[in-house]
Amino acid sequence: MNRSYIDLHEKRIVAQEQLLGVFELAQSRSIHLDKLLRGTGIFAQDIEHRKHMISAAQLLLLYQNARRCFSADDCSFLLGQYLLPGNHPQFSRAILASPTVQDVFELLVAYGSLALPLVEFRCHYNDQELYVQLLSLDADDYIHDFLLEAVNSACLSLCRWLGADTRHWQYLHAFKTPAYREQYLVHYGNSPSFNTHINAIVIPRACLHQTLPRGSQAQYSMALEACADSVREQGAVPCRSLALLVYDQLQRQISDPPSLEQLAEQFDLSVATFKRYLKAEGSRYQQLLDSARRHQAIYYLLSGQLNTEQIAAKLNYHDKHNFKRSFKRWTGLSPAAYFSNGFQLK
Amino acid sequence: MLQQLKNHGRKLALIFVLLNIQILSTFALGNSKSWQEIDWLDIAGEGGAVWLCLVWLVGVLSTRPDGPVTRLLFWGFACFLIASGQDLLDEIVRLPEATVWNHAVESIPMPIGMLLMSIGLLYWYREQQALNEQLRKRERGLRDHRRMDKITGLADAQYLRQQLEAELNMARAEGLPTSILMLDIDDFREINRSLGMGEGDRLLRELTELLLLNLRRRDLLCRYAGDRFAIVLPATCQLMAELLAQQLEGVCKHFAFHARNSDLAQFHTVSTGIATDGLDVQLTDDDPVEQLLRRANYRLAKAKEERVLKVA
Repeated sequence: MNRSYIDLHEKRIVAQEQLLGVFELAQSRSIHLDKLLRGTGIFAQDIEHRKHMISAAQLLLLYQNARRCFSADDCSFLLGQYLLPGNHPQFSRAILASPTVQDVFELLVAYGSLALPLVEFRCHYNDQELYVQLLSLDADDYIHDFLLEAVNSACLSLCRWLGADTRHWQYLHAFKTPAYREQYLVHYGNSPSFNTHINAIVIPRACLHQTLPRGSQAQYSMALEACADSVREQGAVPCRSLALLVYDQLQRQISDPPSLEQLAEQFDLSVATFKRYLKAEGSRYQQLLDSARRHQAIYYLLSGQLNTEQIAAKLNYHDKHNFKRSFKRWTGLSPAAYFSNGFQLK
Repeated sequence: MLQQLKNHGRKLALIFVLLNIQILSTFALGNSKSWQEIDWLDIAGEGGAVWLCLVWLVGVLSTRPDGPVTRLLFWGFACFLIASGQDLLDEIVRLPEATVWNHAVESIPMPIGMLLMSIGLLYWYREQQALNEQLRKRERGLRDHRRMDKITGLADAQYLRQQLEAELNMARAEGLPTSILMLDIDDFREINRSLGMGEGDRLLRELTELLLLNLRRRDLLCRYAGDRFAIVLPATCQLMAELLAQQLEGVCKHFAFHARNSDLAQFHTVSTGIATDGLDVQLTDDDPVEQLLRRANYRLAKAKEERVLKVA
């Protein structure tokens, strides 16, 4: 059977494309490669072979090592500048030819995993803004601060390079305010909101349709097709974890979420195996359901479309009190306090 | 550490030869004591002293470049090592009653070593004063190597906050104004993109030197984050700070940066933002450090925007 998900330890990522940036950064900071690669199972010569593959788990370990070795607060932000346009031939061609900022993010949603295999993007549009939500493979918002800093600054520095005006972008981070907040100010251009229990970039509509000077619709569409081909060659959507697939399924049916048993059946697994697979990726069914509901609730709250009662109804709560209780359990704040606590967008 | 030790190969070889001569001659001329005669407490005490002398000697050599201070400290420790080594050897080897030289080796090098060490420490003190003068604008009063940025050798934002807080408390008590100046290279990202991060780092290093040269003795330069520098200006009013900011902008504009493999110099502009506490502007009491930094950053952002508008 053709599985639609992969194991985090399956070697599906082209080593060369992912290692180049990290190695270059290490070289410019005179960090020894042996120290950087210790315990990851990746070797310095892996970069020489086009065919050599590494797994998502290995890449995550490498980033953890990088954080320790560089011992500078700006490491993640600098690493980000190497991540995009990336080294995947078709993908980087497409992203460089993007006619507008919107196309950049549409491309990241569709084929982002070709260049950034550890993160997935989701776009939500409303009247005023585009919310680009960032999800790690295990759908845990809180522990991947290093990775998210890197990916955020990757998107940002790429768009700046393409000539986009990024001054009015806003950033939401789920994790707590780190000690080095000045790094965010200087690298992002403005301070993100921390402790928001969601990781997202918010872009005003006006900035989305600004034409990028180097963009070309024809080249973009051509490269987009080439991306689709290269994904098809690989057989499946690369590097999509079971946790993320489950998360997506839950989010699609948020008003009537499928139960654990239904999901297991859908993936053709026994309930025990399904649970075990999720556990191996570091997540659980309840956790994923909570994440999906929390993200949706926050999105509705921030975009100001619905009131608490309507959100409660959308998320399949009996009444708004139940919803408020859940929201407080997720974020430590009531919906109203969350909205007024400086997280409302300016 | 090993790299540094390689520079002192001859000194290490010399002390190795001396110790060997000492050990061999003692064993050649005397007889080893029987197990009952050996006092193990003495062995432990004197052996420990020898061992520590050796550790210190290697420690000094591995952390310091060659020079008068290093040589004096080395010879001081070498004398200690030889004197205490003879002491230890006497515990396990019995020399004939008539020999005198072992007593001489035990007692003469000790005072000489003391003297050499004392002179060495005096020189070290002078050397440290000279270094402090060089570091004056990089650190003020407090040294904390963990808060040092590896690229520019400047202190980081956390150190800046500590120092700024101390400075504000002191200045407020004396009724003096304190200013902070933020300085940021324009389009630094482009430099990183086009020349590579190594060249970007080099530009930061060179700019650091340039800024240090152009600051007053009492100012403190820190690397805030990325390409942004923060300068604490003690006892400086807003007018003076603005003047200094203009001077620094001018200096940076005329700084010719030579990129690798290029004879043509590149010129970069910088933007500045200042904020002042004291005299006519008094910040409120809750977290004045953050307020001051926020204001300076805000002014810097405004200055950048104006620059973009002017170009367009």
